[in-house]
Amino acid sequence: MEPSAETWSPTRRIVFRFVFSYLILYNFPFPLDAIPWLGPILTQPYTDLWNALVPWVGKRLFHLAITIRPGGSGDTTYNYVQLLCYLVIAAVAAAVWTLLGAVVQKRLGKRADYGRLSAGLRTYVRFALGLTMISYGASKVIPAQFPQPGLDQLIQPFGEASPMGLLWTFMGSSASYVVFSGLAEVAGGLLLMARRTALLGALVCIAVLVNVVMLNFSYDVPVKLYSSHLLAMALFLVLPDLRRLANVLLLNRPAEPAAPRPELTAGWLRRAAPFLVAALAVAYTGYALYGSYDGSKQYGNLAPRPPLYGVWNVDELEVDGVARPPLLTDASRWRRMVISYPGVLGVQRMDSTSAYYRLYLGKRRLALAKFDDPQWKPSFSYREIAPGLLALEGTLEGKRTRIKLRRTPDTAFTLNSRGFHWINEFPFNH
Amino acid sequence: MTSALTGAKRFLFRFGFAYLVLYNFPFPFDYIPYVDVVFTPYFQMWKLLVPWVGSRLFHVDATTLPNGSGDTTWGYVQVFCYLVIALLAAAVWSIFDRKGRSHPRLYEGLRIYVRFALGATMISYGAVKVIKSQFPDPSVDRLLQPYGDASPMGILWTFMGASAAYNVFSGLSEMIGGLLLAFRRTALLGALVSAGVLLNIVLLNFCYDVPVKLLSCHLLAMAVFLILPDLRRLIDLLVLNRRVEAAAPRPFCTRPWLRRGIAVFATLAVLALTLFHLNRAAETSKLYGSQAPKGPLSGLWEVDEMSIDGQIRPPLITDTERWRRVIFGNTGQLAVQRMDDFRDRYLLAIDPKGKPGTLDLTRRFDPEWKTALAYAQPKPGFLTLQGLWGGHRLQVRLHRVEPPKFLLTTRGFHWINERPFNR
Repeated sequence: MEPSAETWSPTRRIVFRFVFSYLILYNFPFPLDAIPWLGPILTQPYTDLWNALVPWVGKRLFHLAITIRPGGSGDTTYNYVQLLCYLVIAAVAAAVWTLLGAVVQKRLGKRADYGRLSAGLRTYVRFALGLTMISYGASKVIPAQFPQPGLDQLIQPFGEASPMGLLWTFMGSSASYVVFSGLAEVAGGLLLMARRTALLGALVCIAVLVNVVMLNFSYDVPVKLYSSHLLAMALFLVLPDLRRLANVLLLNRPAEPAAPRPELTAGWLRRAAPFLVAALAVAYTGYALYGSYDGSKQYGNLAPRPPLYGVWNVDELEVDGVARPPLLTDASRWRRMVISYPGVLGVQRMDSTSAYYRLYLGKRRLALAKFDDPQWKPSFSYREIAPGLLALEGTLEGKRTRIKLRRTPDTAFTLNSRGFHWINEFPFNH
Repeated sequence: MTSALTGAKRFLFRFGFAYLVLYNFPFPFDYIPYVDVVFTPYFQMWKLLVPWVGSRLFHVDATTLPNGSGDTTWGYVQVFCYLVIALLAAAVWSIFDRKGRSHPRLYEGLRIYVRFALGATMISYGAVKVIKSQFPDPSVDRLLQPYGDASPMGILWTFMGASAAYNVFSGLSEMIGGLLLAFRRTALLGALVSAGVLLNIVLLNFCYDVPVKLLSCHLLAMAVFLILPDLRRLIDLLVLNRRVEAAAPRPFCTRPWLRRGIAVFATLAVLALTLFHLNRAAETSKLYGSQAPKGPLSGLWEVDEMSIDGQIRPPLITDTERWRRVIFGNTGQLAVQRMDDFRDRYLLAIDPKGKPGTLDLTRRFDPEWKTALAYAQPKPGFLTLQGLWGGHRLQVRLHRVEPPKFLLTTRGFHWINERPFNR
């Protein structure tokens, strides 16, 4: 059985003080940041503090100019320096706490009650981890994190993808697999919410997170620090029950029930707590699902498709009255035009290089601009000769240019059209 | 009521027993060298029975034997046969054995059989990932293929093949599941690990059109079958926080010397089996992996000129008959990338017996489609091919190019990414 907090050895107390400080620091300002809409406003001063401290430490200690803030990437130099700050602050906190603790103990003649503190930390970590799992899960249950492959991806060769790009396209190409991954995460998170099911939830989270961590390390996904921390938090939650688990699953010995943990609340709050937690879990899950739905409507599978959406093959191209057939050797000739996002036009040339332009689409006119050169502004008149057939006429690089394009239907791509098959006489590993 | 219930339970057990033994048979004899000769008639029987049942009962052509695909029509008809035979066996068994006996020893025996059948499969699937051979490194022709031209199974294979580390991890979790199953004490944990891993595999197979649905579902069902009797203990342990007793000893045999003997034998057998699978994976990897010996023509060749029936075809990307590139892969593999980027793969024999200067080609999974091309190397780095291709006369001139530095294979590991490199 787990020794009660009163009998902890001095070393264990010191380790606890460090772990306590570190985990609180790492997760703070949770739960403030999880509050819908208000969260970012409430936590801004705290974020500002770090935004001042981290670059200072980076500059003073490592001679690094840290200008990039964590955004899409959670493995920025900023994050690593911040992590070091966490470690140092937690170590200092643990040392000060140990000294003060000794003084207080001498004065009052009794030790601080670590049982309640430990239970409080576990509850904090349970909720921090649980809500994160729910929010990551929700962005998969309603696919927003991994949208279906974009049109420009479908014409991209595997070799030109980055490892992270391959993982994203792989996940995005099966909505059902994304939903399954999301359900596993949501299940783990929800189980963590109730004290009864927390152990099971932590085990589910460990299974899911080991896989996520391995994916992040193996496919160059810059969420290594964060996912490793989440995994460590799940392991931390399992720790007190490790002996019971080993007794049943490894040693085939009888296992006693876990020692009752100190209650954090009393009176009406204690009676109401399960209901409050259930309401919170339901509300947060709903909020996360709504956020994912919203994201999907804006950028994902549910986003409205821009006019002329599609991969357009350049069937015919005429420059100053001279036809340029689709010869592979004509390197700079346009091969395809891709419109998958509003306001952006991708051009793939015959030599497979590509360029992206700003797209202004009027009723009959189509104008382009370079992102870095506003002077370059070709403009075309366009009309759809027939569904899926487009004719452009205008001036490009100072030359009269006529282009006839044909849309490749989405279903022409094997990846999109293969579908589900109970029977395969041969593996279709194409 | 109670007797009807136990009667139903007993019938269910007999059916399950017959089905699981049928499904896994001839395991473990298929691991014993030379003994498989004895089972040839058994397989012959299935080869006659399955097509017959298919055509008589379902009017389907169930003649394509399981190959790389385990979800052939043949596979489904065979599972149907298993079900019918197991039902008949359970019925006959119940008619002749009406003393109302339960079968604790038989049940224990079945559990041991399923544990080892499942464990051996997990170890074998694990070994081909730990020593990367199930998912080889993406080949040059794969790296040149656009995503959209790939099949869902193709994208899964390329994804897995792209990371050695992820392979080792997946393989280790399968092997650990299998090894834990081998020992009675750790069997429950092994079944739990296996069930977790298999749930993911089943979903991958269903979501990415991988034709191993039948087998993976059966394996998952076997893992669940092993967990079921301990379900209450697990709930007590994980949810209800009650005292959990040690599992009751379920002796298959009581004599201590025999038990010890079996334990030693099982340990050695599992060890041998693990080494056997690792060794086989190493051999496969040596033959087909990235370290495989390269043939003399191995590499990436760009088509300079190609004529079909005497007509020179300009390199128009709209020409779906003209080739753009030819990739000689590992021994026995050739891929053609057409002008429209479509990728076609062939089995290749260079200079087959009695035909020097010839490439013998067979389209993958289409053994009927064969051709022979004459090849010559006028000077190093240049190649000519000629011969018949689908009834047309073909002449191709190619030159060798260095494969590009692919981002996918050269990106490498990064602790720090200031921005996600998601391309």
